[in-house]
Amino acid sequence: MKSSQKKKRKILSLRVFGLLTASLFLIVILIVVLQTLSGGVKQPVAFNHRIHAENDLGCLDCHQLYEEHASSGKPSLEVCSGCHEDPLGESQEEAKLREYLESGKEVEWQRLYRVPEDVFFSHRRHVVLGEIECQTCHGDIGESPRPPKRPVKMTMKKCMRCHDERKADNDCIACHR
Amino acid sequence: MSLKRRDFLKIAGGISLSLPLYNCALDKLSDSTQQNSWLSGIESWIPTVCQACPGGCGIFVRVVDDRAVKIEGNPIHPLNRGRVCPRGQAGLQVLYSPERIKSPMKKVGRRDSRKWEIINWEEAINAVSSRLLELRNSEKSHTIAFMGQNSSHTTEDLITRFLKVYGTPNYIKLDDWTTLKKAYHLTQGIHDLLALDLENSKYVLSFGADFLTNWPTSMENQRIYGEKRSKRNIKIVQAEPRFSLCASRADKWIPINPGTEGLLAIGIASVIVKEKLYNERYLDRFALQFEDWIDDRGIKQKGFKSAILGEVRLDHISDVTGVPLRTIIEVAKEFSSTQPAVAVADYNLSFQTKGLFSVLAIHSLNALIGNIDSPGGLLRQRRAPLGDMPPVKLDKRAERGMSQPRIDGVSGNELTSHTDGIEKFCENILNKDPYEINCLFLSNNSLNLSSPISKKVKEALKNIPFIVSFSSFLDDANSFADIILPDSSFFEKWQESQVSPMSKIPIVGICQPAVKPLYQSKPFDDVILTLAKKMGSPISQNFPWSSFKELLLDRLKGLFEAKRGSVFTSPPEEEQLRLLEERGWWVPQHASSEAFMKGLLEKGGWQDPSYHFNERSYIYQTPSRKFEFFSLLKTQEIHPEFSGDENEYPFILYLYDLPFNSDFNGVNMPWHQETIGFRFNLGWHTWVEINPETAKKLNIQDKELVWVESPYGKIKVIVKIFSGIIPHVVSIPLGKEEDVPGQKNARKIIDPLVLIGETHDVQTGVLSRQSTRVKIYKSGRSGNK
Amino acid sequence: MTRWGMVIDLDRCTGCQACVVACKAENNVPFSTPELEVRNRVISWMSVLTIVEGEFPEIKERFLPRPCMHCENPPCVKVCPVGATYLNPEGIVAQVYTRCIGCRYCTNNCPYTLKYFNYFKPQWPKEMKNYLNPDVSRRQVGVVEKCTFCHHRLQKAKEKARVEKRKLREEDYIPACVQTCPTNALTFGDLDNPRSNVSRLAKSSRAFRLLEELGTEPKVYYLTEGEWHG
Repeated sequence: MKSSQKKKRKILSLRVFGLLTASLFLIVILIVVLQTLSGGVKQPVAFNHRIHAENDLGCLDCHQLYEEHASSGKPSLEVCSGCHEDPLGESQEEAKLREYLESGKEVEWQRLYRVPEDVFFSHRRHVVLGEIECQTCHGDIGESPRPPKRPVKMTMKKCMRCHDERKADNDCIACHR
Repeated sequence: MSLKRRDFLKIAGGISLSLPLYNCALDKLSDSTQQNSWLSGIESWIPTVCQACPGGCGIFVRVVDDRAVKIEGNPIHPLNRGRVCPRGQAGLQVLYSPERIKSPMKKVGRRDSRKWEIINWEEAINAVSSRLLELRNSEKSHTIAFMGQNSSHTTEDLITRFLKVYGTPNYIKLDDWTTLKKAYHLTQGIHDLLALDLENSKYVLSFGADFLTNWPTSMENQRIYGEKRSKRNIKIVQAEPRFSLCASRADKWIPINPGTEGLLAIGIASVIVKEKLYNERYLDRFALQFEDWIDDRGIKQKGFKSAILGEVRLDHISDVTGVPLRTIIEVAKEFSSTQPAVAVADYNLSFQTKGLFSVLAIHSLNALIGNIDSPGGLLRQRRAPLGDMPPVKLDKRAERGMSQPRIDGVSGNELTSHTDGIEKFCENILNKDPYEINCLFLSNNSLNLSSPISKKVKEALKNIPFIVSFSSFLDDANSFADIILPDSSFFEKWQESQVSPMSKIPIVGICQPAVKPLYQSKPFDDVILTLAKKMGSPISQNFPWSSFKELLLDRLKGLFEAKRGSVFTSPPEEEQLRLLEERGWWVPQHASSEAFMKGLLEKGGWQDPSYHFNERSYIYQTPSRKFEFFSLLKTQEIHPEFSGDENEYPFILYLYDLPFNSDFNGVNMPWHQETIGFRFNLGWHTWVEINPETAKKLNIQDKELVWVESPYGKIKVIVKIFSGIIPHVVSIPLGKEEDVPGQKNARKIIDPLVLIGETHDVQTGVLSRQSTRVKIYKSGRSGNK
Repeated sequence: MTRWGMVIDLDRCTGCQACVVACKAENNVPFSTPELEVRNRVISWMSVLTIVEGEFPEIKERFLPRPCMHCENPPCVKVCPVGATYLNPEGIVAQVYTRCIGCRYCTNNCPYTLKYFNYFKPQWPKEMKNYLNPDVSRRQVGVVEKCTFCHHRLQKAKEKARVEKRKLREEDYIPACVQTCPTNALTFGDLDNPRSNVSRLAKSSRAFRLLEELGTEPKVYYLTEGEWHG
């Protein structure tokens, strides 16, 4: 009698525990989903990197700053108008861009690659001084037909692996500001 | 239940860990300035001029994308040479202040209500111009007045031109330095300030002058002080009631009773005269009425020398000033034997009952040792040759308006003269003497209602039917305005900024926009041009420029055509230019006017490093072309007066300006506000400084809260026991206790000016803020608030 | 090797506060409020200490600007349990905010009391976020911060020098306080470079360091006020 009661209680407590863990799990999942949703990136124009690359455009043709500045450079309307002054095709996305060109309002491109706020990242330091290819960090974005939905997180692990391989400066404050 | 504590902790921890994560993510995403929106991060440095005070230091504004993020000095600006003061460093807090007025506004409801309606610029300009035209058409153009302060030369010329063409003589300009200008006018016949040649001076006798912190040339003086200090090449003696920041940097502090600076100067002069330590050669050639003279009627008159020898008793002066006899003699001997030496006074002396006398007496010391227009003494700057504006064409209406007397009673209807004080102006408005004022323009920051006569000012403002304000912040004075046309800050507009005449060489800095005007604000000068155009002929014909920038660049061409000076250049090149120019040579730097203008905007401005000594008619413009001691001899009353009964109110109140805060207007610069009280370890709160001896007598502890009471009002402040104040004097800083941006009206502001009675300088009529007596008593609370 | 250091000439210092405000502007230190002041929670990486000597009327005042001393033998580093503060190879005592767990051992162990804890979340009115320096991160609540010798300026200067294929020059890297000082009282540079101004001044007979007897070996040197000053 005593032992069965004990067993019962044990089962009950296990159940309660299980319920609690399950609900906790749900909450966590909910949060993760919310986070991805709110952190999702919707570009005003679904830019096709691949088609631009196929037309012999290099990264520097649109992202014009990375050899001289910390930032890679958000392509300005002026850059787009260099080719799209007149319509080049019948794509719906190009039509959207043409609207921007006509109104003269800059396209609000959303940032995809993010480093945390306390990190100082300079494109010039990496591309010009470190002679690193864009693909090393940015992967095959240049071949993507449409913009990814989620921002790409740069992790410190990746940074450190590369820094170790290349014997780059590993002093914390070389990157952390 | 076997749900153990550890399990619970796991669950609770899991939830609480994940929640902040989520919060963090949202926080970062919602902040556009840092991460999310994709900014190019391109940095540019815009050369411009700081206008946080009238100094005019050259600065570079660091702009990242379209945000101004930091101010650094322009290394080749001759005034500040790359350095910036704490006020300048806090400048961006004004640009990005949450308290800025964001668009034109119109008063809704009653006059004294603080309700406003947002209107657009067209509506605002129409409202103002139609009112102005209405007044002008009914022959009442002279009944508008314009109140302004510290504008650049071109802005001032624009305002003057506008008022002249419109037809009113009422350009009311306040200036704390008028007492000094008056003294120089009486002795040397010039309407100007003189420059201190600190670089070449070996001995500075300062009568409470804050030349290191509160002068428009402070940055220059600080640099020279640093250099000379290192080389042990200067001695500074500071005579003032309180151990100011300048006094603490001086070699000797002479504590002196408030208001007796002039008497000390007379005492020093008497030693110099008695011991024949004066510069005989200078006095012979350049001074009038030093020796006795025969007047037009053939009667013998006493000169300065006999007056001093006959009337001055040193022991009496020592008693009144509180300065030991030995010190007076010692200083007199040092002052007259160290060459070059200079005696300096500043605007602080204006706020006494005998201010003008004091300044005259101090300036006469400079004449005695002959250091006016000589190296290391006082010099007079040659003005920068800005191009002229085309002459104005006045119609009959404008001429009739201009022929009216001024409302503030300043004689002559010169638009350029400064007013004697806001008080007379207000009284005349209230009495409609000689006519009523129908419209008042308030330029940005021109009227501070923190004043002993604020009641009178408010009364006068209430009596003016139409007030237009150009202020970028809402303060008490602007709350009377019917229309507010918010001015842009100096980071958002074109401007020319000449250094004050207190610098020996002329420097013209170019202020150009670092960022686009924020919100709906518009540069004042452009609004005046728009107004003039809107009002049509004949006013608009006198303003042919499409924008203020066009007018400014037009005038700057004058600098090229004048064939002197150069755009800013490195110090060695500047020295070379000076040597050449002083020998009569000048080599053009730029082939064309266009190249010159390009250089001017790139480097930040123009300067002329040369100084030409011995141009007698420029230094002495009295009829005799000499320094006239006469004005000093005429003053009879020389002892300071105080209001409040000595027995009931035993202490003299000494209100002073904190460093870099001479207009006690640190509004919206919280960094400046939190640091200026560093000597007393108090950032935001105001305090009263009491000598340890006095505190002991009153049984008051440091940091205790006390009442300071005068016959006119009382305030509760924190006590700071301070050995740098005379026992029977207590001092309170002005300009503390500001609003915290973003938390307006969150706390009660303490204004020490409520303690001040309506006492004036007997000669200039300037309100005196250093001649009230007070008492101090415990408030019964600890001051560690 | 490079060893960054500073020399402060007390003879020249006028206590004007330009360095203090320049530092706040450069390093995203929010302005204080009356409440923070009362609770003694004001953060100021650079602060000027006033020392009053003597009695009326023979009073003397000395001003002592104090940035982080960047000790060669830093007491704060010894007690940090997570390596958030450390001495970097160029002599800068660094503070990594993301590593800091806010235990405040370092603030307590700093004999100069020049480390500051973020008791509250740093805040700016919305408009004022515009002037934040993008080169410096905003701190989180609960971490310790302090003067960094504006090390972000060093990183940028190094990059620039390397791009221009030249060595780092002394004038390339100057902290904000040194750059603005009106009297040129502050000098900054490489203490190990015998030709630099700092190393020359640090060897002056007037040079001293704060609390030298503790063996912290600060890299901020002071030059005494001369006898002439009294």
